[in-house]
Amino acid sequence: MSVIRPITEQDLGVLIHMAHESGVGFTSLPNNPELLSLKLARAVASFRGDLPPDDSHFMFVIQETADGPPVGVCGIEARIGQDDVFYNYRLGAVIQASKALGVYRRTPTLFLGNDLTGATEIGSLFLRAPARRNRNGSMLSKCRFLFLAAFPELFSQRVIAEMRGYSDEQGQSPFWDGLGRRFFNIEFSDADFLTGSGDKVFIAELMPKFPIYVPMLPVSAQEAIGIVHPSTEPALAMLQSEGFRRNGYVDIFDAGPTIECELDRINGIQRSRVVTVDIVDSAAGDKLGTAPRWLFSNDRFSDFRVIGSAVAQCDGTRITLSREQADRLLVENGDTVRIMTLNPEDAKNDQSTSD
Amino acid sequence: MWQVRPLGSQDLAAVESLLQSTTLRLSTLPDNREKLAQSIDAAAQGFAGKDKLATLLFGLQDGEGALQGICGIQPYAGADEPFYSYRIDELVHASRHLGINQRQTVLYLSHELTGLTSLCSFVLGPAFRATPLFHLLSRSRLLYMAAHRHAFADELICEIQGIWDDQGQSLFWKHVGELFFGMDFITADQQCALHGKTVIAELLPAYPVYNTLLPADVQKVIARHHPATQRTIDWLQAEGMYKTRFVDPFDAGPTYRGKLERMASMQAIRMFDSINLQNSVTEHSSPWLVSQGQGADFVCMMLSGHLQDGVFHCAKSAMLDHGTPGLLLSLEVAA
Repeated sequence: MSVIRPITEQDLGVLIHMAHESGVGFTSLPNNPELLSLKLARAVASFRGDLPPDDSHFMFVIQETADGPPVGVCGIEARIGQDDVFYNYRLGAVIQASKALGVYRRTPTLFLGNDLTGATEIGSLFLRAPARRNRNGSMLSKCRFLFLAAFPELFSQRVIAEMRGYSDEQGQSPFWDGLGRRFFNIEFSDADFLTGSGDKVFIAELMPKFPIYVPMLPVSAQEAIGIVHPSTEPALAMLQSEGFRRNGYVDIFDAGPTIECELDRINGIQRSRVVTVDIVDSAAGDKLGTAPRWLFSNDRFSDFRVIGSAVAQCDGTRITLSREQADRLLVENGDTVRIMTLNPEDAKNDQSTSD
Repeated sequence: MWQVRPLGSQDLAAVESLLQSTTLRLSTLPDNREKLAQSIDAAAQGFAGKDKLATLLFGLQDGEGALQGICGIQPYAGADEPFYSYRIDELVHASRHLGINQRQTVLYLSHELTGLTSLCSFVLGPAFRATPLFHLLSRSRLLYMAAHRHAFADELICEIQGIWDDQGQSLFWKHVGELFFGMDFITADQQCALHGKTVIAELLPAYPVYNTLLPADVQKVIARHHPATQRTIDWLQAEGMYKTRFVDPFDAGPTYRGKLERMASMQAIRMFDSINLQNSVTEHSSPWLVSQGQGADFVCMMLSGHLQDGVFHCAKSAMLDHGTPGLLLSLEVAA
């Protein structure tokens, strides 16, 4: 059964591999060892508590066995736009109306802004292809809710996720071609590379500052606004099932939508609860390779851990863990853990015991 | 004898038929009898000094009294409303870090020209455009302004018609205005005639328009004049007016601008105290524009004669009052 833990300095090599695999469009894992190393150092410092909470960026890795290599990564940016300026477009409207002329027109308009500055962003999720099994992706995504639930004081109530926008099989983004490219003649894949290289803010500063009337864009660009990349549709559906909703903001490069949920209203956080640990040597352990239905996390900051479990032997305020589970969670008898069903629909049927 | 004089309500039918024969369309001269009558009435109030904002309309009349041309002066562009233009400006999108430096042309809505005096409503058949009648009609307005200097601003503008196709549609409108109105150029033009240009312009998008987002062929028509207006442009330039960065918000035609006092013709205007009517033209004679009268009594014509000691010597004309002073403009002035 997989375990999730904070990233450490020793994970740089694996991280570089994953960045290489993630390819174009995945700007949060730039294919650049130097930048990755900086990113990693920031995450390590964040878990040590060496950075002010506003500057923290938490990265988690998942490994399929207790001492196996990391096979995936995800992150939480405590406050976006603190270091670099965070830009996006708000999809708003301008109304032209005249009773005398019988004119009433609503013109969708993109307003460049930094409105989401200070929000908490969940992102950077990447899972290596061979590890896309046993709900590892789901675990990686949702382990962040447990961390948010454990340390809400470190985060904004406004939790967002940026969804990768639409691009075709050739990696061409019609939105970029219709807008960004008119302002600097760079291929989307190159612009994307630049942004992944930490230059996003520089590109953003070259973008038009005045609102963009959507009807002035080519139809193909208009149609791409707010549309996610096909490979991102499952992630979007999953976050929507957790309470995330489109908030009217889109990415300035590919017009991928931003989704948002108030921290306290994230379904996973609402359905999670804190229980006290009883370790029983004979407790039923999970068979290797079974898909988890539950996530358990400890309440430790630097030594945060999340494990998956097919069952939760829970009785009111107490949970029974196997020795192996307790070891992986770094908990002892009497410690508390937070438990959450992996899927919202599972919470409706029971909570407590087994299955 | 050809002459320019204020239009009156008796000219309505003649104005209508003249407008129907021209390919140009002018928002100051709507193709609508009722509105046209209102415009002419308003002009009459202006000539009478009762409405300082009214657009003054003049008619060019041939020897038989038939109307052959129209011109106008709007003393205060926009009248009591904002006067809308797009100002062509540039923004440099640059990044030292990325080594990128790109100039971006941007159209900003502007009211800057509000309140300047606008030369407008010029209508003259193609057959007359290459003749001295063009000067009689165009420049008669300068004589009127010289005779009523206090009624006009220090600066003049002239909006030149932009590029329209054979169907009367504007490509610029199609890609800008039409997005916000859902009506084509001809319909919008009709609405302008009914409701006034400002009412329409107020519905234009308030945020700037990035040229780079417009199709290439639309970008090309910005600040380009309709070929039929070439004669007017040549004249404005000869007078010392210059092409501004302002364009019409409807068809993106250019706007020319200049100081009234600096116009070549204004500097060449002379006064005369009286007229000495002669039976024949003397050998010193040269062509002049001659104007007399205030307000509704203003008249301007083209005569051959010469000025000496405040007296203008010219051949007999029934239209001129030899006892009263007036203004002269030599047509030998470069413009």
